[in-house]
Amino acid sequence: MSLEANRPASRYAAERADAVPRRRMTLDSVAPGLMLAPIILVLAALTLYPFLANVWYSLHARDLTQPFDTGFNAPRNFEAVFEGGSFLNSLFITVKFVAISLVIELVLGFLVALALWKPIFGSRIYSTILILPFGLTPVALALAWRLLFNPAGGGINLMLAHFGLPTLDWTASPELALPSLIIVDVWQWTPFVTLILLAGLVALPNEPFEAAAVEGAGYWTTVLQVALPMLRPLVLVVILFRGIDLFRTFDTFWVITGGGPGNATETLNMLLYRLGFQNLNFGQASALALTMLVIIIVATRPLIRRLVARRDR
Amino acid sequence: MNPTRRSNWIRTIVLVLFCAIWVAPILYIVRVALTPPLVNGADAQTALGISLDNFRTVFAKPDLLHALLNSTIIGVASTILILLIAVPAAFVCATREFPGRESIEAWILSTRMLPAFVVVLPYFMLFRSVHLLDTLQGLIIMHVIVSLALAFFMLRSFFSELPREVLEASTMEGAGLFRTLVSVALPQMRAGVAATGIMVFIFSWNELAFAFTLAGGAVKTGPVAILSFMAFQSVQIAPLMAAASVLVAPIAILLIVAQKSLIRGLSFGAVKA
Repeated sequence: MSLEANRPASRYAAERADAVPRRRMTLDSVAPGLMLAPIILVLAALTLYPFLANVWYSLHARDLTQPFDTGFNAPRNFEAVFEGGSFLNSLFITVKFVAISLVIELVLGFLVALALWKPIFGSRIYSTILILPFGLTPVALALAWRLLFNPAGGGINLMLAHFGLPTLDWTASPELALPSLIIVDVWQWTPFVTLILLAGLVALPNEPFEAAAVEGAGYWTTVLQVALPMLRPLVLVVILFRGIDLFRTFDTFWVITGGGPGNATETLNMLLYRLGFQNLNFGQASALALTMLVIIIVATRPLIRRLVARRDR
Repeated sequence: MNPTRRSNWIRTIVLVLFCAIWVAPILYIVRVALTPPLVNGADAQTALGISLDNFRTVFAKPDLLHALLNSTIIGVASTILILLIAVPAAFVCATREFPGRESIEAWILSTRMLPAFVVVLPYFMLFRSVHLLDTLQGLIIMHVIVSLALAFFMLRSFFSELPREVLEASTMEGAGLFRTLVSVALPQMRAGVAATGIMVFIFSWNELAFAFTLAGGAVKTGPVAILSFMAFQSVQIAPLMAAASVLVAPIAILLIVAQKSLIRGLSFGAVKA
């Protein structure tokens, strides 16, 4: 109603009386727009501005250590990112990290969800424990893992030695650094997969299972041939969200290995950080950022399409 | 498919084993934090006894308390801003059908896919020129951006549970869309909005990439402070773990309070667990 106060009063009283309901309708018809305007502005600031700025920087020299050299520089930024092998190395590490973690988290998460599926004593305690790994501050948990992985006297090696087993170099060795980070991610995010799939399992209708029981199907046949196909949409949700988050992981890498030893755990995200905030070369960093955006769009498009298609049905 | 006694035993063993392994690193933090002062370079991980000494060490210096205060200010301010922006938008999208609704939602969802540094690079340059680097205001703005999509989809899934009749009755009485939101929808959805607020606060509190690159000098958040703590106390792991437990303690409480909505939020409303 405050909008009306700002409008010039109508000169025709009769028309005005007539117009009241109509005016209310017009105010109501712009209300959705007004209520959406703030989020659209923020979205533009969040997506359009960074995209355009990244395009601009990637086309120009933007080396913060050489502030006066800001000329057009497009091919050199992209060339610099792709040559020398660090891009391919990072791409390979990223794909390995995402694929292996995702498979382990899905399989393990599904098995634990199965164990929690039907009512069981203590299920509330289990669910409460399960939210802690992915809810608590990642930096604090990653610090604990860094201490646990410490080859010289870290918790894991202490325990291995206690049981007379050989100790390992974990994050200090180029071969074991990435597997160590996969262990941390599996630890942190498998419970999340469990809780999502559990919610899906609990919501499944009863009839298909009764039919399977009548036909005398065993437990694993029922799980694999009745439950799993009905969970497909949720599995897609998990693959999409986990896949993207694995691709973007920063906290654990930064705290536990910092991309090392050497560049054994330098994912694309860590490479982007190094180019931008350690080498201070924003031109090259933006070129890499745009490349990563293309990878994300290409990789997630089929999944998003399937999700949207499902919603339409 | 009905659980037999034997299968119940197997399930219990699987769950106990899994939860024991999964809770171990968290217990490790608490255990190391509680070690008594060490004599002759003993190992904090195997020392016996319990003491609160490390917490005294951590709180003796103002750094951590100051960082937690920063985190609280940034978290509360960005949560309020996010709710102000996301509540009306989510309400419109949940209750009205209009051309372009799906495109707007897809646009919001797409922000979930951006790696942090793709956004950080341009904002670093922008903040540098408008003097927002290393300020509370700058981080509040960035944290609005971090969790806006999460808040939108969480609220949208709550609002879509409002009964149609209630909304129609409100419109019949002549209330506009905004009026319906404020006096009909919000009072019914108090729990959902509160849960969303808690989730958004947790995400702001836990966030590292923005807090670390766009601030971290004069303005440190909890996670950034604990990392610099590590640099100074590289050998003394007990005070480090004490600081870590102080950092996660408030989040643990909030998580248990908002437990039911956690999965709904993290799956962007896809799962209404």
